[in-house]
Amino acid sequence: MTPRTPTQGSTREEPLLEVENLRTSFPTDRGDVTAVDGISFGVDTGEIFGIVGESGSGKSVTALSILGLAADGEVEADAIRFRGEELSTREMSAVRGGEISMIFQDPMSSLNPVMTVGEQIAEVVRHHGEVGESTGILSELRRKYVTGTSDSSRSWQRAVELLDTVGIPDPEQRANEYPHQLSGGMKQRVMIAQALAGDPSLIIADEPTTALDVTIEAQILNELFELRDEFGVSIVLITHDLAVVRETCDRVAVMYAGELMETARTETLFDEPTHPYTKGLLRSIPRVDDDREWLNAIDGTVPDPFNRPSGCPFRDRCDAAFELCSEPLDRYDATGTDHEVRCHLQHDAVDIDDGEPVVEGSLHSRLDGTETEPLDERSGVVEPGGERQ
Amino acid sequence: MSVADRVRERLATEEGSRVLGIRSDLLDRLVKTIRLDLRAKIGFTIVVLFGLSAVFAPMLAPHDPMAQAFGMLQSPNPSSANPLGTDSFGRDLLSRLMYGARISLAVGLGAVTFGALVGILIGLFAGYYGGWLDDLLMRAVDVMWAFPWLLIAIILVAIFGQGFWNVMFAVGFAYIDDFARLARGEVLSVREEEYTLAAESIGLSDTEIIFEEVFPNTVAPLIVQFTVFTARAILAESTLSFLGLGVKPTTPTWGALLGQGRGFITQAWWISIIPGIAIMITVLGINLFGDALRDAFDVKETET
Amino acid sequence: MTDGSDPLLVAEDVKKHFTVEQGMLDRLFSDSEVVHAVDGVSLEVATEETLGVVGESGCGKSTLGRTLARLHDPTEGVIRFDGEDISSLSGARLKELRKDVQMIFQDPLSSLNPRKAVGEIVGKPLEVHDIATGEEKTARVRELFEEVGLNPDTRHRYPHEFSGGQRQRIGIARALAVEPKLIIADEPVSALDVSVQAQIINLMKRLQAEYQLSYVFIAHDLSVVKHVSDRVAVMYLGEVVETGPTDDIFERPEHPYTRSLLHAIPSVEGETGRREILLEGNPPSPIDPPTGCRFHTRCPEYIDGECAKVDPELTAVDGADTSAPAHRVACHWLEHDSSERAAQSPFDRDERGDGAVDTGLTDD
Repeated sequence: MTPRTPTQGSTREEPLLEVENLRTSFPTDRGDVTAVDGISFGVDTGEIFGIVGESGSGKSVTALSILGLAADGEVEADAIRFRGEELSTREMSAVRGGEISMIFQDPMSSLNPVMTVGEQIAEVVRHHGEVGESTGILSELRRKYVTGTSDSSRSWQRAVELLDTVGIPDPEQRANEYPHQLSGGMKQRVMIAQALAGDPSLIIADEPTTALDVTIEAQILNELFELRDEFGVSIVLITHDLAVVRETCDRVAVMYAGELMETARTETLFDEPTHPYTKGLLRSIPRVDDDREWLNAIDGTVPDPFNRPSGCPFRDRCDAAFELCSEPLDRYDATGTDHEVRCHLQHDAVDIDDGEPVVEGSLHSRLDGTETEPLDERSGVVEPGGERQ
Repeated sequence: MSVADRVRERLATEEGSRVLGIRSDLLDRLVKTIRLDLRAKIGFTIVVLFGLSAVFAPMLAPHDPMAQAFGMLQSPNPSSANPLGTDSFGRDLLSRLMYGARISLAVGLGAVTFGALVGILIGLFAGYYGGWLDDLLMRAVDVMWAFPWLLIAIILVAIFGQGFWNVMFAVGFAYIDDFARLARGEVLSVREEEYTLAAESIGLSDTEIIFEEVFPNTVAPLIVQFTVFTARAILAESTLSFLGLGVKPTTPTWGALLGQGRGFITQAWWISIIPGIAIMITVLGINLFGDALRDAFDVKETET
Repeated sequence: MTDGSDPLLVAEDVKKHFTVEQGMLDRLFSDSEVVHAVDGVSLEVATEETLGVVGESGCGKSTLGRTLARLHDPTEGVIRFDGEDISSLSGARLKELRKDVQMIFQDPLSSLNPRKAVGEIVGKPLEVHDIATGEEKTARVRELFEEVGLNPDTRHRYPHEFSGGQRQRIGIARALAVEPKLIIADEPVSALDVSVQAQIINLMKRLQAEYQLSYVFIAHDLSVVKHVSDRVAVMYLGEVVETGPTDDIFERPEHPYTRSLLHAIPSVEGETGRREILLEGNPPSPIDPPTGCRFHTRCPEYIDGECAKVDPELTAVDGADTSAPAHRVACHWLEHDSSERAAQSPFDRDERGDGAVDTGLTDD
């Protein structure tokens, strides 16, 4: 696969975060598992960028890799640039929690159950802001376990202020409560307040609303909007929920089996989905206003990470799969700017004839002499019906 | 094709095919674990070796463990006739060690099996039903726990007298509370899983759910506990023998051997050290074997 | 037994209360706290019908499902299945009921015993109810695997070796084994990926037609419920606040809670942008539910002086026929004039606002 610079031909200014050809693999007993396989994207200042994918698509690993938090993972990238400066994974962990912070899916397991929420936020404030309070281990221990942070200290006041910012009523009192005293939505707000404590310019939110009810979800997403509008924070929103993406994100990347299948502005993605996977996903969702008797499910399951098919990882489940699909994926520009699709159907040399893709003869020589599988062999590949092992 | 392979093929892991009540695929996994894991292999070898030498002691032992050779009293050193030397009465130490293994291993395993059976039953029912039954059973267990085990053992032996079974129960009694508490804790977490509810919804009775659904999922930590306690029980039996409360003062057990040798530690150190080493190796072997059992029963481990 | 007019399952004023777990001393010496998980629910399910039950987490919908399946004993009320009162069955007769009523669970991994081969899991009900043994059982298990779209040769594997969707298929096969009349599905697709969700929903619909099944489909996702249900019951804090045919509920919702929920659904089509927040805060605790209408503490259409005092009864909308399947709502607004409501309701604000502005402009 040839690495390319992302966002070619883009008219946008330099992105806040730029990721080029990120690859993360995990060594296991059965060999290496590639969780993220060469993805590139950029996030602009003040933008909400969505990464949407099913479980196992590598969307969370992508976030963890960028932050240098992918434990035991081997992370490689041609470049990870933040504000135009290239950062090694080690330098990345230095900005973590400050310039870049993260919100996790499960606030219960991400908050320390034996510390008040105010304490947990104040700690982050001290470590990242210049409030002039000692962060030595002894003073931290004293605050956490003996005296608590003084109500008059700047870090505590900032913590209360942050709780207010994220819409927690009665912040002075709430700051003194423990996580188990708060509801799920409240805890998620605390997580957001904690993420804000380091004055970040980028927040990576990993499924921030998945554990919440729809009514609470709407409240939390509104909080994220307000962060962007008020503080100009960029947000990477990782989710499996296309509806959440649609109402929240400016641009979105669809991830499947560790690869980005389609990247586009949100309206474009929903109005003119181009990749068969994106189309399939959109068709498979039940909607409040549809009268379909049967949903259009995508048959089959995500490929076994130990046994990934060559070429396009989606080809086993794709209705439109054809001979080129066993070739490594390449990036193609689709309609308009800012719309990239990794699907061979977009190749210049492919025509759609009667709904069947036809490859022009000249193409094969252009594929570095790699032999293409004969057409009839793919009948064994494309097998609709039943999710079989 | 080996015999084992053929047997295995016959059993061909159809749903529910069992050998001695154990699912045959689990036996397969155990065989595989022992074959692949060096530590499991060592543990298995030790357990088998010591087990066999205990069972076949009458045939294998070079001398009668009770026969005194007065000629040896002056020269207890190891020799070709007595590979490990003799004790203060001129009795062959190797023979006594082999015969001693019979009692020590039997008491050790028997005591823990007794403690585990009673304790696990208490824990399963207390944890599954909760409420007043839980209160009743667990408070009873707490009372047991409040007494030092040695005291209980001494009281029991004092009341019922010395002898193999009495010592075994006396030692095992002390483990009931540990097994009960561990089993109950495991049951409480398993009971939260939806498969117990699913089992109820397909019509299994409470007893069936406890033994078919809940128990197999609590077994891993219990196996570890079992092996650790077997080792401890062997030591406990030794302690009782050492105090003269063991099976019978004249019967050779490892603990008794160790105790008798202590008076001669400066002149003939091996009399007490060698039984000590035997205890240590057995304990190690049982622990290693226990780890192998646990791995084999954990079907969630990724297969290689 | 059912001749089409008699519903298969009827619940009358069913309550399920739990005592908060306490230590021995508390139990002996103090009054215990009671969670009113399900507090007076009446509903019915006809043969081959799907009743959707929706509500936020903690509204008691799962407890209701488990009580209907008699995994919990109802604290009060009557549950009738096929005309027979099943509220206090036990022993052999309860086991008999298990052949007719089955459950599908939310978490397909947690609901499968990790130490049993999946074939054993699916075959267990056959064994328990003496339906088939030995060869016959194996054959039936293979059939069930085929039926739910799994390869029968995978039946020796363990649950962790399957994907989420496949595990849910195993759970469905287990429920199907006894050929039940009613399946209570507790959030059967909410733990699954979207593309797999559609597979499972389609499978459940196919099986319903094939086996003449009735479903109680419990979910928090309104679009899923809309898709699968014939009728819907909306639950809030242990009570049904609105119930009726699916189209009525989704097109003419009457209860402010139903309206708020529908308002909060994110969609993949239609207008983009933020959802308007009409429902602030969290549901109150079911240990000490609010007086009067339980929703009054969060209601955007609260009527002063009425809602906090009197708990409204489920009443048929527009005087439609009062039988159970009709559209019924528990809200004081039903006693008021609809124009009066429109003047206050935030749900009608858009039309109201737009209309006013438009008139002003055209007059110019």
